[in-house]
Amino acid sequence: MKIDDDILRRSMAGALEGDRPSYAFVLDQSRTWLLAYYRRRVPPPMIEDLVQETLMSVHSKRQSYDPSRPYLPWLAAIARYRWVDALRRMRDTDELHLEDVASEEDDSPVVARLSIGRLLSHLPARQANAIVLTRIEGHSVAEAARICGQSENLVKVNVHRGLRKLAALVESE
Amino acid sequence: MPSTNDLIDQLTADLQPRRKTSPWAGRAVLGCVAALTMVVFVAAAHGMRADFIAGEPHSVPLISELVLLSALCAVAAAVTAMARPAVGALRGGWQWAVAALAVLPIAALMTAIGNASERAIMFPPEGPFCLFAGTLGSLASIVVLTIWLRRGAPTSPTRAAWMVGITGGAVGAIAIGLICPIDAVTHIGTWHVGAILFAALGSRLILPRFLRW
Repeated sequence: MKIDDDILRRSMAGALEGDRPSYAFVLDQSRTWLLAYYRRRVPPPMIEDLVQETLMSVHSKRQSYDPSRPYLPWLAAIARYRWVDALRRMRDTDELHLEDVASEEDDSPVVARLSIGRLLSHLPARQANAIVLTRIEGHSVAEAARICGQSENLVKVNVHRGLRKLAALVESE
Repeated sequence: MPSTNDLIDQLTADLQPRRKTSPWAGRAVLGCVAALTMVVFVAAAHGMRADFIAGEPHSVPLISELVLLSALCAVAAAVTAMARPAVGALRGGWQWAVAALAVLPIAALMTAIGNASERAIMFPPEGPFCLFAGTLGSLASIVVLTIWLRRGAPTSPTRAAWMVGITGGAVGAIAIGLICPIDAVTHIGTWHVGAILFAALGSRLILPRFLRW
């Protein structure tokens, strides 16, 4: 289902004035958009949490929306910020994996611009390989080291640096 | 964690009208604080530079003040716009303004290399005072901009911190330029512009944690 930005823009303008039905509509449509957005970027167990975090950010930062401008680029900026936050958390822990679940859905151009695959192509090959092997394909650090011929420490360093660079790339988009 | 449907119901029930964050409001507040900073500096020094008051400004400090002012306007406009995020918004012009600030230290360096008398006044006893006072003069603007940005949603806290520091530093550098009696570009390009560098570095180190949301 395509989401009409103009309707969202007007509904959000109403929400800023305190119109609750309009706001419920905006949040519901935002949830649909965010599910598609995060499905391409984070592992399935993280999607619902990130959608909820982003909706709470939409709520707490709604005064930063300018109703004279389109709604979805604003939502995309909020979603990207929460995604960068998730990437940072991922960098700081060893638990999470970026299992790629890229869907065949017809996503909006805003979503397409920010796909993880395209971002990985901006990293040096050794960093992208280390991330793909450990965070996307789910190999252990030892296995990844064997596959790509790097030491385990180097794999860890490349994953860490790659995720840091990835977060910076997403931020600068 | 509640289901997303429950969350939407909660957020909807919690909805209250809210005033929009306007970049122009931020610029107006910053303008007032910057003006106040300059008034305080001039009052503390018992008056502006004599040539400025007489309406016969020396060219080097005048040009320096105008370069700083134009950079301040560009960076302030960009940093206040950061309160309203949007993917695809083009906000790169401030980098050129900051690059233009480099004109002053480059001119200072080139002048010092080629001119012994200018080199001699590059490190006058007043230098550290100008650096300290300029950095001090940046604080009010930095605090106000930080508080104001926290109302908005800056999506790159690190970049926002740099820009807040450069903006505040430019206010401090302009304020010290109004009262400093030294005309040499070697002095202005090092000690006055140095205040911007200090303010920017300090902001980069301290502010990101306050700008995250």
